[in-house]
Amino acid sequence: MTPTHDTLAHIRFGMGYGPRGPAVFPGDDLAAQARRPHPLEARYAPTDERIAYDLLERLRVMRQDTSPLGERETAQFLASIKDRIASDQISTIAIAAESDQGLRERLAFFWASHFAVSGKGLKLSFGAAALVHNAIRPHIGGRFADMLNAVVKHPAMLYYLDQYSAVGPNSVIGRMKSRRGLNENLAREVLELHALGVRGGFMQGDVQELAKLFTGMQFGEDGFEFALTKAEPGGKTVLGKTYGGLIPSENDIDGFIEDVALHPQTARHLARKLAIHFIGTHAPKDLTVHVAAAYSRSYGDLTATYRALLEHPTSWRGGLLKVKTPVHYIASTFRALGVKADIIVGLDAVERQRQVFQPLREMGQPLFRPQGPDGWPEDPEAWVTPPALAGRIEWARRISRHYGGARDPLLFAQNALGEDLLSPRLAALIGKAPSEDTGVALTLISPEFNRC
Amino acid sequence: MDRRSFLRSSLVGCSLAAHPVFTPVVFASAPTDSRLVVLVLRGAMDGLDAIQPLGDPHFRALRPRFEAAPHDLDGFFSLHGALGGLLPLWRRRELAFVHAVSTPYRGRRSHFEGQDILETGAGGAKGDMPRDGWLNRVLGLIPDSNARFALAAGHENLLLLDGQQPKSVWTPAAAMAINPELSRLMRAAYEDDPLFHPVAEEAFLLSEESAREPIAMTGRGTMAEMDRISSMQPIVTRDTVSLARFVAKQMRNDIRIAAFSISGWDTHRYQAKNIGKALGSLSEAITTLHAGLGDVWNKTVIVAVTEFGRTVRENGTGGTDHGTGGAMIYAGGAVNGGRVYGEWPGLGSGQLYRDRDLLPTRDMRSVLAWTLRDHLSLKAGALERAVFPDLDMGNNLQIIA
Repeated sequence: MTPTHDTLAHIRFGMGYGPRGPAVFPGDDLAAQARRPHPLEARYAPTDERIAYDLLERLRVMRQDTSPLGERETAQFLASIKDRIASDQISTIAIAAESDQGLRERLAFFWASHFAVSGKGLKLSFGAAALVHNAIRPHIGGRFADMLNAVVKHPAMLYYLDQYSAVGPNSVIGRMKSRRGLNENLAREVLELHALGVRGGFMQGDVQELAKLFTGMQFGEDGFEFALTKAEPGGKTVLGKTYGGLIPSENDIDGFIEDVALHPQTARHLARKLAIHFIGTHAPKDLTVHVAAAYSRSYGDLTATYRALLEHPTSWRGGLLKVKTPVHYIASTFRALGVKADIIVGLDAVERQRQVFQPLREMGQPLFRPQGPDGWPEDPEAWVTPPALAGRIEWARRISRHYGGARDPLLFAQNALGEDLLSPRLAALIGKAPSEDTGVALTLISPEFNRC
Repeated sequence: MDRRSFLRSSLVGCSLAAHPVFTPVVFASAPTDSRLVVLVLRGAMDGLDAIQPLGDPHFRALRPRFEAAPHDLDGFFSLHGALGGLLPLWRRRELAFVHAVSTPYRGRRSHFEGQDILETGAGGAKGDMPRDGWLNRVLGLIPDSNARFALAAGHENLLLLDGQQPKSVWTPAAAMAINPELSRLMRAAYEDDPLFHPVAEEAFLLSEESAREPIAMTGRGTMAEMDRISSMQPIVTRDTVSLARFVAKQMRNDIRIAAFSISGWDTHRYQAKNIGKALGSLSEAITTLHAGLGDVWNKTVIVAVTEFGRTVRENGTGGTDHGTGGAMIYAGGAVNGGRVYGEWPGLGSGQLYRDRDLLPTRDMRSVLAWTLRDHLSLKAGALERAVFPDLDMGNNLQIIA
């Protein structure tokens, strides 16, 4: 059966149904969610970057005390830091499970993957969650240039892609210490992953020049800093335009970011990524063209861009051909079961691992730890492997026992999938389930519930 | 056709329409008889402790508080006590070591960077790191290899086998504990979906085939286990033995190339205790593989590699820090064992790398390349071009019999 508009709105463009059925979208304008933060986002905000910085500094100092007492205290302090990080990270699942702005949550995950920072090590484990909250969420419905600017300057990104230690060879510091120099990592990823795309028409020379332009960016205990003494003086020509002069300034970098955000290749790249993410790799070219045009026409306004995606007929044609990522799967399961954010955030350390972190690893998506800056794969085959599927099935079985409780499994299926997605086959199987919670599990493991 | 042959002749994830269920299929015999197991030791194994150069006059003074290894190997090197279980293999010349080797990685000595370079076979320049694993590129050179030929065992994604070539992915720890009645219902739920159906069938079948070693789900046991997974802390996985047993069993069937990782090598503190555990785990993995492979052992090469070695000097907390030169471990019936290969650079001042690390005298990748050439009959040109970028194979150490 062809899914209804309502079902597609919730499942293709949202986090699925809650236990009481469809959420209400004011004025039927899905895209408007993008500009509207949900109160849950503030309630479960991650640790502020400067506090994280202080905590890690304190840890560093504590580690210098290698007496037995010192080591014990360090171990305890480290455990408390890890607990805080786990709490920060699980909040993203909690918010997605309860917020009725499913599209905004999907977009938060989308942009987090687009600007992926892998949380390897404590600094990045803190930073990855903070980047989403502080650099991405405020701009989900705003201008892409503003999001790109915030992300590029975020401590997590500067650290992850080695920009913070880069030094212009002709800068004050560069001329003093011959060992430190340019680092092309951030420059390359901004061009290749964040903005233009791998076939976006940039050359190695552009990467090198951009690497020079990016020198000076670093962070300290007060957050982002532009260090004049590290910045490469002189003009840098990237994509045919020259930025900066004798005295480098942060404004030069801002100027480049504005320009690259509005580049037609960026429009095409982002449009294609959005189309693939929500519709699939088979998304027709005219959809990408339509969305890219809206992006360019609005000077990179993301709400206008999403609106263009949502008004295209392809978006409302049936056939859910994508597979939910594990994070999406877990959040939508909690949502369907009516498990609220405060329950998820309130889980103790052991239950957090059992109910969320370990299952995510088994399903192939360790939270905030993608393989690289290119984020998580889009193709369904990447997520449907024997161990990853076994992970979903095992987890669904356990979670349905834990939260499934005494509920009518057929009713649960109807609420979670909508009447149009619940196939007669699945309904019949649920009828044969030996218990209520196994009936619930059958819905959760079904392809219908795993697709989006 | 019974379920087992149905699955053996199917490729993971291929669409139902292409399934040979209704057409008779002659399963192509495996492209080679040789077996290769690559063990990725995550956390930077201290080669200098695993295989101690007691014959080097400078060694003991660099680590005064460490114990001398008890098992003399060749008059110069001695084997760590925790690898004592491998001595029978040494005596049968089925165990070998290569010392003072490393990947081309220099610089930050970061685990994550180091492992990426180790698994992708990168040549060094950071910008040119391949996105797939070198072992996956090897699969591309073997004619007729398919998903039932190579196995990435374990939960964590194994970059080493990531890439365009298909492979099997499983770990006994993924085995589902679901009773047959419910399994039947669940499998039925997937029947109409061409993507999920074959994968679900494989998952349920493999679940039956592999024993699950339950991770203790109470209190500290869980935390320790979880901690291990998310850091390099030396708490060793209990899954290693069941993983090795599973790999051996699969290699007696269709699998010819397998890989999995063993963690717990990052011994910054209390190295005596921690490396003991990790080496014990490695030793068990090898002996379990040996026992499980049976008569196929004669055609097997196991090679254990790590991202880099550790500092020659002990640090202030009974351990060692990240270094450069390290060791590889080879085991198998197809190995010219009973030798420690490699060119020893010495540990005197002026002989170290940056005055802190063992100097690598050979690119580890060239050793691996010769292994692939001799054991899997791959061409040197392809190895230097396609598998390991910017590689100079150098001379053959003749590690493979």
